[in-house]
Amino acid sequence: MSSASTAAANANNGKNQTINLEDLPLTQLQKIKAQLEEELNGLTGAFSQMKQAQAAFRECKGCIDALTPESLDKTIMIPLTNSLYVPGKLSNIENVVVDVGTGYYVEKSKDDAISYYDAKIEYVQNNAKTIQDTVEQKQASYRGLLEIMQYKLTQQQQQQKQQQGAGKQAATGSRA
Amino acid sequence: MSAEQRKALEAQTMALQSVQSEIATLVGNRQKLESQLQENELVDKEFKILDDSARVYKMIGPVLVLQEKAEAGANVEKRLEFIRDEISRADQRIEQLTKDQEKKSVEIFKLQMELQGVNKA
Repeated sequence: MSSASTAAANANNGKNQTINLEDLPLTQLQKIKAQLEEELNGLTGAFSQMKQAQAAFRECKGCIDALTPESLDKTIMIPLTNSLYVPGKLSNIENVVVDVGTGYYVEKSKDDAISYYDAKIEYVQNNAKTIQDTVEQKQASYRGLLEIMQYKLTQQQQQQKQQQGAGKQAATGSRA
Repeated sequence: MSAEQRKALEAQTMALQSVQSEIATLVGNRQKLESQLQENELVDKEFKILDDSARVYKMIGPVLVLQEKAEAGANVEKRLEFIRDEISRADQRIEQLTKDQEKKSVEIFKLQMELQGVNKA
């Protein structure tokens, strides 16, 4: 019993040891089930964040594409606060300032900016794919775990019925 | 005698719980550090492929301030080094605490066995 607990504990610590799920008691299986559910939730959350990031980058690209030669000198509204804008004129349609992270911004030409965002979109796409693969793996484990739990549950119920039957026999005397 | 043992058991259990929660906090901090590291590495990469004519701004409060590319690059690299140091320190501390946690678990197990032994007798 204690070796099974250690095995389950090791699984909970994330150490990659292969444990035989079928050997574990139902209580340990429930703990693993809860852990898998938590992991799946975390991963799906991360995945949707990736998708959102991708959408944001695509929008940036769209904005850059809107900087056409015709838009030169066009009036634009510049936000000073969330509810206060000032009108201005678009004077520079060649360069944009791109947020590269940790508070740094870099001035780039339109083309450089577009390739920057393309690279970002691809990077996020790759991460999203990795997450998706992991999610599928974990879902498969989860389904397997549920099957084993179901099997053990029916086993337990059968055992209980047998014990009840044996108890009745003992109580009512013998049956030849 | 068993009252003493019970007190010892309680003390050790509380100690174990505090070690466990410290480990959880440290692991959370380390994850934050990890993501900061990645962000700074991206910026570092970006600076390396920029040519020197490109203009770099730093956001200080609500203002974008023009900076020298060299200075900004150096800044990011220093930050990277700092974060890496922090991460290795956190890792060491986590390892220490995990060993401590295991020791305490063993202690508690022994105390529990003793307690049960006393009760049976």
